[in-house]
Amino acid sequence: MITLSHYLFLSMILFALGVTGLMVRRNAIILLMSVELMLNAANLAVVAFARFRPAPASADNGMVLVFMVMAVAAAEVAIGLAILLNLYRQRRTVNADELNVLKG
Amino acid sequence: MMLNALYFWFFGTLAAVCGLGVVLSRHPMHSAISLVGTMIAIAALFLQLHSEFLAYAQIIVYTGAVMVLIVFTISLLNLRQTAGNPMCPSRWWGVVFVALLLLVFSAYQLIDKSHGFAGPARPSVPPDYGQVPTVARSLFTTYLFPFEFVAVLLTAAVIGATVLARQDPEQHPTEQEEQK
Repeated sequence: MITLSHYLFLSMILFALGVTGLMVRRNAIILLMSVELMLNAANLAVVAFARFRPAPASADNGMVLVFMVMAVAAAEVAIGLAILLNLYRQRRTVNADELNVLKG
Repeated sequence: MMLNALYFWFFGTLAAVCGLGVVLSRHPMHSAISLVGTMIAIAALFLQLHSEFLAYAQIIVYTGAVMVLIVFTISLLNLRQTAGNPMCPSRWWGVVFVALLLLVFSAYQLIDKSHGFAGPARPSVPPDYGQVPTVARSLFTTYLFPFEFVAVLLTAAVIGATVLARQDPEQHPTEQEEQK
């Protein structure tokens, strides 16, 4: 039987993978993708909570929230990739360790 | 019921394995392809949770728009293979911390009999649950202001991305010559 905990567990695993990618990898594009993975994991948890609440008659709230998160994630990726593109033009690298212009 | 569990385990495993591929692949393009797999698996799980609208939105927005953007950027950057390990070994202590959190969470789920993996089954839902009209109704009545605000946000993002990624011919004369 599949319960709420199964979905939460999967969501936790995906979120942990996203955090791991964010900490371990140095390629800025992969860092962006890890953030997307974490957002997806959170979305999965929200949808599971909406589905498993005792009276799901007005559970659209969770779905609307996930919809908003998707829109914000799309905006975030567009801006992030534009910044990366600009950065690559000027520094010829997307390695997060070499990007230290803002360091005092 | 058995089929339901099989569906969950299949797509859950697919999502986890592809998520692992995102973190471990050496080349960004392989990571991107793995991420597409994860997103499709999550869309399948949305379908299982009776959220049809979100499943389609997930496919269209993520695999259709976001991932195409990422894949195009990867091919545009034409990244050279960096020599050596792409991972950063000194940060593995953070991974240990995440694994510890995961362990605590699963232990709690296994111990707690009333809410954990032996918790209550999913309640039955009305037939229009998660359908497009249901979501659209609350999106255009209760949540009209956030919805319009997201439209403003997306417009700002599009303008910002265009301005940021625009190539100024006067500013980078050497790069123009490089490309010729």
